[in-house]
Amino acid sequence: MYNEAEEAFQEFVRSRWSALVRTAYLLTGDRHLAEDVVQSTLAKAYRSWPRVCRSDNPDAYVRRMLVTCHRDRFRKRRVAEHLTDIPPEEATAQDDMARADEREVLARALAGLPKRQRAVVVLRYWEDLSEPEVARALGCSVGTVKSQAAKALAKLRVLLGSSRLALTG
Amino acid sequence: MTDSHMEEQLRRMLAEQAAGAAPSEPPYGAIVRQGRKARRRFRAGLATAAVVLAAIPGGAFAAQGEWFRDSGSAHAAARHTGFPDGAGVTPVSSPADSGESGGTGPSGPADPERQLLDGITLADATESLERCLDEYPQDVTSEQLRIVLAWVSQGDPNRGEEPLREVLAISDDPGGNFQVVCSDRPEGDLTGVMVSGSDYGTGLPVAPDLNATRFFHPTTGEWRTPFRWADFGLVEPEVRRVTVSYAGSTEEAVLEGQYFLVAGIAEDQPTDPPVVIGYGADGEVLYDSRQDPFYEPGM
Repeated sequence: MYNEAEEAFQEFVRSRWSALVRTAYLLTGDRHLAEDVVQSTLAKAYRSWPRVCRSDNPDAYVRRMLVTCHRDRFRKRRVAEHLTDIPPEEATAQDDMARADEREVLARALAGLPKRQRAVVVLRYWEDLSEPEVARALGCSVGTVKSQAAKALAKLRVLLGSSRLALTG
Repeated sequence: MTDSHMEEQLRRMLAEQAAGAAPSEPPYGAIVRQGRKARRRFRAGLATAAVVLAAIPGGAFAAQGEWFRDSGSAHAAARHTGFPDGAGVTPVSSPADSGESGGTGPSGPADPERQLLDGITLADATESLERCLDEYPQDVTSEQLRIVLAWVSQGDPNRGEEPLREVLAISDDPGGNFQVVCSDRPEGDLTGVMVSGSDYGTGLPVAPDLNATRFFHPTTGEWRTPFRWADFGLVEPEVRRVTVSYAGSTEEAVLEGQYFLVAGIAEDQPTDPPVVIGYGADGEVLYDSRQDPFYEPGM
């Protein structure tokens, strides 16, 4: 039993690490911090692994843990939030430069959202969760998800729309 | 630009943004070490709380729920309790073995008749609490918590019209700083969980919980009477009695685990917020919510 559980956990970490870090990165705006949050999340998952396995959807369960970890980190430590970690710009072609600019603008726009709205945006449009799934992940009602998403989109439209970037469609 | 176009663009940009994160290899060893450390810390905390509550021989504690090979932790817990290896302790008022994990569940309230209301049993409340913790994992397990109030509240347009089972649980460890209110429908969806620390930092002898305001009145929609209301908050040790006056009647609160806990029925729609009074050993008023600058009942 031990070996099977340990192997299953190891496989879970191996297969989900990158996706979880990317989600955490969108939530935190900092790659190193994202890895820290995911490491803490997976340590908690390890502690409760039988319960995680018994859940209908271990991925969703751990994703909820990730959101909770991220939220608690701010609640407990009152850490100031600055989204300054822009992905490295490796491209030199004009298109790639434009995309790098776009990422920078998006990073700043996301940083301008309250963290709950940012979480809704990340879960809804990056993780592609349904509204009820986002509600479960955040521990709020579907109505709250809808209203927070609408507010976030309105803000992003303003923040991104003022740039010359892709949201002009 | 339409909303759907905006959403489509946002998805693409988020994907590109996330792709730039380029995660390194997972630090598997560090994750496991951190997980084991957290497990040991939890077991030590549970053992401390369990000693305060009661000692029941058996071995259930030492045997519970280990899936990983971390034999040192079980021994450490046994030493911590003062029991020899293989002897176990468990909280007294746990409702039942929770099954596969071998957990003992949360402790129950000191005065079930006044704290488990509207026909809710400790087993019912435990079921709701554990469902909450399953759905919304926290840093604690149900074994570390004590259920101190459970009642049935009305639904509302936002959360659905069917009645809700509300369960308030707090850290069973007297030094803990965790409280949770689970809103659950046994036959339907879990509707929410409200987690907060229990250190409000007002410095006053009584500190009504600001999160309790939602249980005074319908959060949305119209009043429907009779209305089951509930209130709770922290009390300092010098407070020996708390009353809450609301909707034309005065209820005596239960004091347990540094909390005051109270519920009542409003036969008519109240016009004023609850008035919370805390009394000392000689009946002197130590706290009056009407003079509390932090009290924001939201009515």
